[in-house]
Amino acid sequence: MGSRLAKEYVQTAKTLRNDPAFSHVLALAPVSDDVLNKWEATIEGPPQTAYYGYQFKLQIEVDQNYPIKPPWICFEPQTVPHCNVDYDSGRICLNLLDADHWSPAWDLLHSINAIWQLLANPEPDSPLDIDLACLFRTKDYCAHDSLVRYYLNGGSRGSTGPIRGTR
Amino acid sequence: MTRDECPICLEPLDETRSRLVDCGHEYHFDCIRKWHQHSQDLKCPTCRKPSHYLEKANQKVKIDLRKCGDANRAIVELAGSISNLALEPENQSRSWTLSSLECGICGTLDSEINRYCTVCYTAYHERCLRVLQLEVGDFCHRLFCCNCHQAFADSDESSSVRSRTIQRLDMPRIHNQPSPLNRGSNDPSEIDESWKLLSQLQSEARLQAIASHKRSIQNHVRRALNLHFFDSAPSGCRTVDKKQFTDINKSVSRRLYRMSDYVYCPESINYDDEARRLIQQELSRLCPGPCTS
Repeated sequence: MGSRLAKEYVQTAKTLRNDPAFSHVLALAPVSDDVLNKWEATIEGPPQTAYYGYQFKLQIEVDQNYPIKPPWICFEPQTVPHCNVDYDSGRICLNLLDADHWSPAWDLLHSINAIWQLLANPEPDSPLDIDLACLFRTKDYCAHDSLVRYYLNGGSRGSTGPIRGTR
Repeated sequence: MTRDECPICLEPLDETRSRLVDCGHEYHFDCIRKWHQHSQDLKCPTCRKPSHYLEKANQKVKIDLRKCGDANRAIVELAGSISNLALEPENQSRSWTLSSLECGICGTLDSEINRYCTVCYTAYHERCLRVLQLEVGDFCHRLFCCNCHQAFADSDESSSVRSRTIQRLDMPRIHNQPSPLNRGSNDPSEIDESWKLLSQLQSEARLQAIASHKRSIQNHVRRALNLHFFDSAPSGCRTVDKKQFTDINKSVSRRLYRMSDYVYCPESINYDDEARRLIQQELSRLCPGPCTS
């Protein structure tokens, strides 16, 4: 496991330096060079979405059985309003990161890239945020994006979630 | 990602490289088996296409992955030891299929299957046969196949023959294009073949284990004996020449093998002390007289 992560570290650094296809991944590296099982990533919001112009931080933890087991990846709490992200905890619902859909041929960079694509392509059928999912499902993209922007600009949902309650 | 890298561990593919036959993607044998055991399906991690056969590149052993679980676990267990053995290139044109070889009594297949009826092609654990024998009140020394009642060859004889001979891997049948239709554990020649392969692997693994125990013991002997050899000997120590070194090394090592019953157990035997003691004995036999060391 250790050597696979070390190799990934080297490969990822190289790809991020040279490959413009991953320019939206601003950073992806272990938190410290001594502990390779905790990584941190920063991604840019995808263009032509409400997330554009914002940066998002991700925490990554890697199990001892990686890559047989998928990595555990989550956004920082209360930073990402998205129908497949639990706003309060930052938990991400992405089937690729499930034990059932994960493949050991994937790596952390491609997982992060998949999360970036998820930002641009919400999956309202397996939502963690019901409100955003409903707006998206009814194709009210204008309202969806406005709500997203409202949160991104510092609007608060409050700890008891009044918006959720008024549904 | 380069072609010659295992997509699972990212290490270079070595002689344990194995190929999923249906899609052609290559992995280390241990890596892909570990993944298949975890995933419970037979999909390729790279392309997600299911592949029913896995071919080990160096030995051309074709493994039917659908008979997954125990059969393959047994092979995985053995694979570690056989991958170190140099297999002759003459086998490269052949490939074998490991069919199901469950114990006819308990129904499991593991690396401990050690009895095989050559008449009706049924495999057994010897312990299962013994237990059954006791249960039916048969206290006969010989074992019988409980399917066709054929007597097995005498146990001691056959096991000693197997543990002492290395046979070439030489399987009778060649599978060029395995068809999934006529495949099954009922094909006797295939079971026969798989059995031969399995027992081959077992005996080679056993020999390897013995060799590694012997090597560990010999290291102690050499270390102790080096003190008496040529220039490295401290002053006052008796020195030996090259031939004496070899002879003493051989005889002391042999006595230590017997002493520890061919299993290296540094917990119960102090090999350094024993080696020194036996070497002193040999030395005093070589040229009688007081030894100063």
